[in-house]
Amino acid sequence: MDGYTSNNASENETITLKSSDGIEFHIDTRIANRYTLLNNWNSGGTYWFTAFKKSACLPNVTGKVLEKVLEWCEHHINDPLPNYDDDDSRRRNTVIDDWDQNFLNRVDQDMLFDIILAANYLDIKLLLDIGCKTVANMIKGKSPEELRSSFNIVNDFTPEEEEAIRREN
Amino acid sequence: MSSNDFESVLSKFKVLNREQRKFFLTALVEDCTPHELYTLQQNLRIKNYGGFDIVGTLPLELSVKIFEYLDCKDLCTCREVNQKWRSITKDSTIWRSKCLEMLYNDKGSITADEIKNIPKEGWEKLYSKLYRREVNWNNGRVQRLRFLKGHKDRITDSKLKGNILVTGSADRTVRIWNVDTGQCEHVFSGNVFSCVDFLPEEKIIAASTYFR
Repeated sequence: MDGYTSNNASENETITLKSSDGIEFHIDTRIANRYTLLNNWNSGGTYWFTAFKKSACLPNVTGKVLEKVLEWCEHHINDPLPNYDDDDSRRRNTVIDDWDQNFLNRVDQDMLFDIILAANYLDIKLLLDIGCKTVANMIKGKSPEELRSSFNIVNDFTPEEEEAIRREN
Repeated sequence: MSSNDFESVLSKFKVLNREQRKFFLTALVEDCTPHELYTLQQNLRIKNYGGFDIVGTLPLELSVKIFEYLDCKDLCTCREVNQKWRSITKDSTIWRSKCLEMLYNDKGSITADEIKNIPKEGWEKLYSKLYRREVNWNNGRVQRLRFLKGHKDRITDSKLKGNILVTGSADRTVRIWNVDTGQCEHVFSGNVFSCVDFLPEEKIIAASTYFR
């Protein structure tokens, strides 16, 4: 987090985010401005009641997860903002850029889960997208049995149901 | 061990076949110290083995978002995993976006109004219909053959949108066909046409010729 505070000029340009376990992060307003929820901090979003003091509490996000999310935000700070046209007919691809891939490869499934939830909660669409793509990539090309073992799932179908589904497919 | 050695071991490993790789890994594990095994275990944990059910634990809207990235084949596999996953694959949002994806380059076969009127539960059925059509098309499995007679030379280009077919030909004409009736509805003369395209709703045809 030193990167933000070492810059003298940025002294007034940071806001403070407090994680659920009380860890404070000073973040560059440039990061905050990129994302809708963070951006709404002065228009009085539900969780941003303390925003006028330029700090806010995130009851749903732990310090460990927030640190990861902010690491991602920091890396992408200079990216051009994608425009989200609501054209859902666009082809969905599961290509993830190398840095993001590497970023998510270094986390375990618990963390991935938390990152997806946090990105959704903080409305960081791009991070949510790559999180979902990563899970989708874990699913692709596997058999039901392989999926059950990599996600620790118990098969709760009766043999008759199984047979019915197979026919349906 | 220099980085060169490391590279060469790695590149040799990459070209082994499945059985050889398995054998190599088993031998490697045999040779590891307990500490190295611990590192290995950590790495495997990160590589998502013995994880938990992310998909089933996330709120439905997010599981749906994940499934939207899967193709039909993977979705069918997901159905077979357990009750929870099966119920997620039933979500109409997934099938709606699958349908729209498939119709993206095929605006003719279903109109915007028809799309608006599709009930929530209709999307999955529509998708399976479109999917079957696609499979038949790709396998060249013909359902019905119909000859459209009129052109006197080879066809250079054709476009089909909905029930309208436009063909350009070396016989110096562009023809508009009604595919349902098999009738040629219009003939335009010009030169030897190289390619054609059209906008059915705006009633515009574009055709280009080989010659100036």
